Amino acid sequence: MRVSNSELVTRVSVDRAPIQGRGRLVDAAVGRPRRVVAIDPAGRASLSPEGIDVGVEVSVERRLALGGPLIVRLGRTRLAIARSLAAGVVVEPAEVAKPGC
Amino acid sequence: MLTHGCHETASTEHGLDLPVVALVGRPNVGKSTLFCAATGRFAETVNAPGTTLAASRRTVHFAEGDAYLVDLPGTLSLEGSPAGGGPFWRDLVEARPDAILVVGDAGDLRRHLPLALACRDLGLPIVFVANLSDEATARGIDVDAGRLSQLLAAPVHETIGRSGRGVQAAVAQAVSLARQRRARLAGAAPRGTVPARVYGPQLELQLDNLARTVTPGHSLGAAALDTDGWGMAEMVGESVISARGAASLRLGQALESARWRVAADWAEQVERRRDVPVRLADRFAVWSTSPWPGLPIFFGVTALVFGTMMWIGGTLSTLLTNAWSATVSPVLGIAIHSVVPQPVVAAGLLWGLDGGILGLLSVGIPYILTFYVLLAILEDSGYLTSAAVLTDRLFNTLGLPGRAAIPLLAASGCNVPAIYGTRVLPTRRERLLGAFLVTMTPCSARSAVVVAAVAPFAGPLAAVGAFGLIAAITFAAGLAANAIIPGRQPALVLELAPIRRPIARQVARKAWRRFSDFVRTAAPIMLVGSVALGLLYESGLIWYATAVLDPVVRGWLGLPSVAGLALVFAFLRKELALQLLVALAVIQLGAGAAGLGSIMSPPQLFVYAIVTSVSVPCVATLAALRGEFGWRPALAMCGATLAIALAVGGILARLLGTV
Repeated sequence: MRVSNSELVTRVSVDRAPIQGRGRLVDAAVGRPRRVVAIDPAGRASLSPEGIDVGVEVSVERRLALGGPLIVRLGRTRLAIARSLAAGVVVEPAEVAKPGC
Repeated sequence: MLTHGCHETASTEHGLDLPVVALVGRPNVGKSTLFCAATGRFAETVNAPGTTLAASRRTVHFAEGDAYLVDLPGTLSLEGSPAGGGPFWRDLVEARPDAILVVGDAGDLRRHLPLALACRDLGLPIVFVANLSDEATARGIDVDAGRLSQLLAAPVHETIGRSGRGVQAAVAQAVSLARQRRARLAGAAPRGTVPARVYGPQLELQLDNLARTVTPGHSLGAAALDTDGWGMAEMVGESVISARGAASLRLGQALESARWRVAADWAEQVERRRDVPVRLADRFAVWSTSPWPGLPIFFGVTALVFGTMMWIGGTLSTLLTNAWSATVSPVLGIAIHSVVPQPVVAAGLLWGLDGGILGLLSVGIPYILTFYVLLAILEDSGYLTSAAVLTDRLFNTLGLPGRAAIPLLAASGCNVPAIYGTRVLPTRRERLLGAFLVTMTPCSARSAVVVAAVAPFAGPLAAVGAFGLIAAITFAAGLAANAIIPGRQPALVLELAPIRRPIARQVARKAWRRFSDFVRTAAPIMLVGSVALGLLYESGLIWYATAVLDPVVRGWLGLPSVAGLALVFAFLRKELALQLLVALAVIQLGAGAAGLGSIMSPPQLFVYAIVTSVSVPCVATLAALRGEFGWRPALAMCGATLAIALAVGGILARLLGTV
C-alpha cells in the first residue's frame, strides 16, 4: 500500500488490516472502479452533497495536467474535484468486499 | 386542470389564503424550465449550477382555483446555501409551502431522491417529478414510476420540461395536495403526513426523541431545538413543518448520509436499463474536458464568440449610428436649441441626449446584447462548465475557480454586467478578486481606444503588444491581489453539466432580461455623465483641471496637458477618450491638431492607450462595484487600478524615451 502523508490514510490502515489496493482517490488508476472507504472530515461537507460518501462507487475519468482537478465519474454524473479534496478520500478496488463500518 | 394563463403578482397580501407549492430541486435539473412550462412565463435558466438567485413567485390558475407556485434556487440539500446566505431550508420554510414539487433527473435518481426524502421528512405533502425523461430514455434508462411512487409514498410524474409534457398534471396534483392540506389546517384537528420509517432503527429513534421535544406543549421544546434561534418550535406550533420535520433538520448530516443510502437502494429497484450507444452529446462532453480535443475546442469556441460578437456588433453599430445621425440627431439639435436659450446649456444637453443615447446605441445594443445572446447559448448548452474545468488550473493561480472565466469573458464586452456576473463565484473573497480582474479587463470601448490610438501610428503589431502588456499587467495585479486579500480559495467540487441543445426562446428571453438590467444600471449614469462632460467642456471649466494635472501628466507620464484632461474625463465616458482628446486639442492648438498623430508621437500614444485602458474604470463600473461590494472595496479597486496605470505609464514613458 502506498504510504502517504495523509493522517487519515495512516489511521485507516492502522485501524483495519491493510487491504491490498487501498489508497487515495487522487492516486487511483484512471478508469478502474473504486469504492470510497473513508473521507477526511474537512472535505466531507463539500463532497457528500455531491454524492461522494463512504460506500459509494466512483472511478477517475481523467486527471487534468499541471495539478488541475480530477474528473470523477459517479454513476452517470461527472464531477470535477480539486486534487486537495481527492487526497482526503480513501478508496479501495470496488471488487474487494466492503468492510463493515 | 388547465392553466388559463398567469401573471406575476406584485403583492402577496391579496392572496395570503392561496395554497403555496414550492419547486425544489438540484441545480441544472430543469426546474426553471418546468416552472416556465407550468406558468407560461419565463424564469432565468442556465445549464450551470446556481442561476436562480432569488425565488420567483407566480400565480397559476386552475379550474378549481388559484395557487402560488414558488421557484426556489437549485440546491444540493436542505442544509446547503445556494444563494450564499443562510441554509436553503430557511428560504423554503419562509415561502410557507403547503406542498413541495420536488424536481429530479429521471436518468440519475440516486442523485436526486435524497432531496425528495428530505422534503418528505419535513412533513409536507410532496410530488416527485422525474424530469428530463427524454434524456433518460436516450441513455437507456426507464423509470418504474409506479414502484417509485410506492416507495416514496408520494405521487411520481414523468415529465419533459422542454416540451411541457406531463408538467400540467404534476403541478395540478401538487396544487390539489396543497389545497387539501390547507383545508385540514383550517379544520379543528390538523393531521400531519407520517412518512414510512426508512432510515433504520437507530436514526428513527433519534428522530422520534427529538421530535417529541417540539410537540406543542412540551416544556423542553424551545431549549432542545432552538439553539440557533431559528424558531423551530414556533414553526412546528404553526404547522409550517411537522415535529419530525424540525427534528430531521436538526439531525442534518447524519440523516443526509442515510438518505443517500436509501436513494441508491430505491434507484436500483426502479431503474430499468437497456444497452444503448453512447449519445454524441455525452461523447462531446468527455472530449470537451480532455486536453485533446478539449483545448482546440475551447480556443475555437472563444474565437467564434469573439468573431461573431465583433462582426454582428460592428455591423449593427454602423447601421444604428448611421440611422441615428441621419434621422434623430438633426431633429434633436434643432429642438434643444429652440427650447433652451443659453447656448452653453443647450450644447451640454445635446452632448448628453444626442451623444449619450448614441453611445448607448452604438455600444450597448450591438455589442452587449449580441454578447449576452452568445453567453446564454454557451450557458444553456452546458459547455461553460466544461470550459470552467479546463481552465480551472490557470485561474487557481489567481485564487479563482475556473468558473471565473464567465465574468471575465463578459468583461471584454462591458465591465458592468461582468461585475454582476461575479455572483457565480462562491465566496466574497472570490467575488472581490474576480471583480478586480474584471475592472482591469479592457471592455469593448477601451479596446477600441487602444486599437485606434496605437494601430494607425505605431502599427498593428504594437497594438497586439499593447494588449499583451495589458494582459500581463492584469495577470500580475491578480497575483498580487490574491496574495494581499486574506483568506483561501475553497477547493473545487463542480458537477459537469451535460451537453444540451439550448432552447431558443429561453436564450432570447434571458439575453433580453440581462440586457435590460444593464440598460437600467448603465444608461442613466452614461446620460448624466455625458451631460456633465458636455457642460464642463462647453463652459470651458474643463481647462481649470490642467494646472492640477500637469505635474503627473506632463512630468511623470510625458504626455501633453490635453491628454490628461481626456484621461480624467474619460471616467464619464470611456469610449469618448479619443474623440475628447482630439476635440480638446483642436481648441487648444488649433485646427492643425485634428489628427491624433499631430498631438502625440507614437510612443506617447502607446503610453496614453495603456493608461486609459488600465486606469480607473468608467463611472458605470464604479456604480456597479459599489452596488455589489460597498464604497470601500469599490474605491480601493479603482485606486489600485489608477496606481497601477500611473506606475506602468511612468515606467513606459522612460523606457520609450518620451520623458
